[in-house]
Amino acid sequence: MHPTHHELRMFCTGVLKAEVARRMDDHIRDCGFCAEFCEEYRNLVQAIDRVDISACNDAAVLIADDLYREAIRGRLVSLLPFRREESGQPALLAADGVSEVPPRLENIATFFSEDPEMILRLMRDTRRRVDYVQLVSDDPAAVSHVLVEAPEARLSILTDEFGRGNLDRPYDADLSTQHWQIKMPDVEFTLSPFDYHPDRIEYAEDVILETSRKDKVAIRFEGRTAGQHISVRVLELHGTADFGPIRVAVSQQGKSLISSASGSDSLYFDLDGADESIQIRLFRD
Amino acid sequence: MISRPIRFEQQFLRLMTRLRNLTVADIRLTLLASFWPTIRPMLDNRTYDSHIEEYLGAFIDQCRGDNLDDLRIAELEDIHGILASLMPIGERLFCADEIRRAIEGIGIEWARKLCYIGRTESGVRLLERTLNQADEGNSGAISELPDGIDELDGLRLIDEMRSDRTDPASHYIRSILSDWELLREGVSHSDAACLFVEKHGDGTITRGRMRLLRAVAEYQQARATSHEVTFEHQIRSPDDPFVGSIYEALLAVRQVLSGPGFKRNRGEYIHSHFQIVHSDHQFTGDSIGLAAALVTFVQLLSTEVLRHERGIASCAVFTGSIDGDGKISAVNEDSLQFKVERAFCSPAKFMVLPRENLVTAHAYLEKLNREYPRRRLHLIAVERLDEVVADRNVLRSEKVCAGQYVIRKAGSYSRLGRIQIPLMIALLYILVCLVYPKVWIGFDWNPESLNLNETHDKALVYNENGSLLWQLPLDCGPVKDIAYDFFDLNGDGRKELMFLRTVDEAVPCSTSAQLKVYDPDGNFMWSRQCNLVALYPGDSAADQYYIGARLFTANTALGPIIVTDVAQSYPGRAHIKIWSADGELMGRYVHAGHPRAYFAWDSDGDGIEELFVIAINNPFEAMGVFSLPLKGCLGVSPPYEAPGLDLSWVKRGNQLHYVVLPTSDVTQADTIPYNTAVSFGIIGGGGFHVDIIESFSGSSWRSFCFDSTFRVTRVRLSDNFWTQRKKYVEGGFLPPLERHDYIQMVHESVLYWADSGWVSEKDLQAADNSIITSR
Repeated sequence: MHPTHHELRMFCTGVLKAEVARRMDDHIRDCGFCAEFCEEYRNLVQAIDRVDISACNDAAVLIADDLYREAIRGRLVSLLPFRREESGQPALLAADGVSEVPPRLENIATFFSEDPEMILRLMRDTRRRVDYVQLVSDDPAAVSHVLVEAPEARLSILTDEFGRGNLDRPYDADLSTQHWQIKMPDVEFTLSPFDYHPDRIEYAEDVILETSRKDKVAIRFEGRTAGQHISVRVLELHGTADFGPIRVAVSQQGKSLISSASGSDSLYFDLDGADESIQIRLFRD
Repeated sequence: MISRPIRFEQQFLRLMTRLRNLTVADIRLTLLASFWPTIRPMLDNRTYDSHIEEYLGAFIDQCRGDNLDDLRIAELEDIHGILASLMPIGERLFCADEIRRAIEGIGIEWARKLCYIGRTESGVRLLERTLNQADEGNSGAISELPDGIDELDGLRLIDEMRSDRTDPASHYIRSILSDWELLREGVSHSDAACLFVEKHGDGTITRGRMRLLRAVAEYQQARATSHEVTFEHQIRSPDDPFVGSIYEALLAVRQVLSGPGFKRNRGEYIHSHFQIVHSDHQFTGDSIGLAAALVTFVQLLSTEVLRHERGIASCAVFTGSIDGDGKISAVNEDSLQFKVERAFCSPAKFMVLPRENLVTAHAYLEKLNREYPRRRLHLIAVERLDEVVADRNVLRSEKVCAGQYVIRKAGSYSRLGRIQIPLMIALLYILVCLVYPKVWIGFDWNPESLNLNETHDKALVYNENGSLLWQLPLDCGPVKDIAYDFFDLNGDGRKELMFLRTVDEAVPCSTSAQLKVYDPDGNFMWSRQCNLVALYPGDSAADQYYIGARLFTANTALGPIIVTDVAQSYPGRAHIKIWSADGELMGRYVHAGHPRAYFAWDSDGDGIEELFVIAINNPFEAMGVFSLPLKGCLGVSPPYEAPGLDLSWVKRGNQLHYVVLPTSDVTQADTIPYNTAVSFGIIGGGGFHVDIIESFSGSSWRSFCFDSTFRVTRVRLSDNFWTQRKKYVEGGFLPPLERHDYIQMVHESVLYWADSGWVSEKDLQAADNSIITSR
């Protein structure tokens, strides 16, 4: 039986355990298909390594980033558990007395994805008594305001600007055995202060935003006594009005709010009123 | 840059796993420091914040006191730098204060080591920098250290030169200095500083370490057949050279202590328990032998009375193996440079090592001294254990002040058998005395007080401190009361007991009026009957019942006298007898009423006292004052005529004086049967005064002043007495009188007994035409 492409890529990257790698190596010696895949993958990696990013001009880098984001738009990234090395210490028969002081920050479990390359760390802050997830990537924008989900536990966390999101579960709940995945936004709009001028709105004003891929949302700003509000109504996705259930996340100044909607429902969000841009992200279920 | 997050995660998890597996805190620190180049590029990417916070937390947790002891100066500098770089991140991760404290801890330790190696100026500047202190006045003092000064004096000088001695840096300078000076002067009886090296499985040596070897050693019981060693820390295996070298050390110690000059030189086996302080390491190697031998030797000196105060100099560090004959063998030359380096960066003054290693150690030391010329570490090369124990730099008495020295010496000598045994006997004697005070050599056997027991049939005699001396059974008991006195009758300095009982009238008792005298040890001396028969109405038989009313003793010109007073009522009379010290009857007298007080007083100035008595004269229902000759008094007191009594047949007494002080009209108005004398005092010119209470109110009195011929010269009234009388006057009970007239009246009412009968003061005044003055 052939190993999967993922396993072959792991083998080529050299992250497999010695025994697994040896078995894989034995197989590749006898299997032309797998040997060819590995050779192509290694060539690709070497080619990418040879690229000198600094030699690219800013426009090229921006295009590359846009292409990359476009490529991962709306993707559901499944994560694998990261194997830890065993501590190798023998078990002790302890006449246990006072419990040891736990470390201030504890890594409960780690998950990863190779493509896009991301690390998900389940963290426990023992001093603040809070568990949280931290998405790690070389491109912080790729992990900001994305949904981290554990479907079996019905858990969905929207990360902040820096890939961090607090777990909406009691402190020290065991989530390390869950299957974790990342849901990238399908559509992303940004309203800069220039566009909506929050201070100038004295009464309700409607704005229609549309992407080149025919995603269309209606935004309504309202100035009320209690503060400023925004209502979002999704009109079309990819040019169709029948897009099924959807989650809308509105982020401003590091704070995010998320709500589910379907059809032509309008979703209301309170704004801080600060002179900061607003990001609106749509996640299709 | 391919696979950076995953590759980094692998590295990071590996680091954390290794950290968990490491037991030695400072190695954890160096491991964390070695990861710094890997994690540093991630500081700008905030998605790595959880890694950085985890790393930082582990770092801060390790930056604590003892964990830093064995770190090199360069390592401390690196760690200090890393923490400083993390400071901006700390603000973001809300742990800036913890980082600041860790930086402070590292900085202080780094500064301390700089001071140890003689880089005093750098150390002090670092302290100031670490504590965010830039005091120009203090900093100016740093650059003036003279050449040739040693490391410790350098710090002393800087400490003295600092203008502001209250700033935090000065506080730490003094703290470092005092710890250092304490170590330089101190000795220990249980600890020796040992040098180790950290050796890895592949044989590489990474650092020198210094740890305290602590031991508790004692001689085993006589039936022991071998030495015994126990450890509190981990050893690699029971047959490790570490264990062997300790046994060899005990053999060597036993040999030294079996030599001449030691008290317990019978070659007893030793039990020694070892512990390496503050260490989670596993230990091996045999270079511990010298230190183990020394600390065991010092422990066993506790049984040597004249040497027990000797201890191991705290400023000495040791390395060297030892064999059973006490020969010190060389240590591995490869590890020696690490040990020299570790000793060099410590407050130690002496490094004791095998003579065979001297040349190599000296070469390393010279190399270090070229870089740090101010540091003075002295190498002491030794070949044998007895050489080490004789070296006063290594084994010495603690330096103490003169007073402490004297006390310690006294303590030492007190442990000698020839002092301890008598001391123990004395202590035992004191203990017995506490339980049974009468065995105390200075016990007070002199009787001072007497009580009746609960059943009133025994007299219990106590000394001044209330210790029971002895007890006497009382005949005709239970007695109602007892009149007693303790008086030195025979002039031997100890007091005899004499007493008169008052027995229950219902109990038939022929000796109710008996005086009994006992010596101070409770032995009976003599007894006398104190009643008089057929001298006064009512005294018809010798065995009549009498009350033991009063007992009076006094030293007189005729020697000690005892006055007994036994009494009876209806008619009221007192039988007064005067006895000499040996029980000879000197006089006897019957008084028609009950005496209140006796005194022996030479009122006429003939050199012999008279017995002076204040008494109630029952027929007059008033106080009387009279005097009797001590020797030869006899007869009955006046009056010789009384209503209802036939006194015509009584023998008239030979009293020298008898004065009656009639009851006042206030007393009569109060319906008090008798007035009462409350005090007597001598006044100038040979006279005396008697104060008489005349009312229920204690402060209502009249005072009569007498001259030496017993003539009343003056009468005084208390204000209360006069107020009391005025109330009766206002109530119409008494006639109004001026105070002066009243005093005159009282004075005139005084009666004197003359051979011819009673004479009033009024009569005498008329005769004398004397003038009475009143206050």
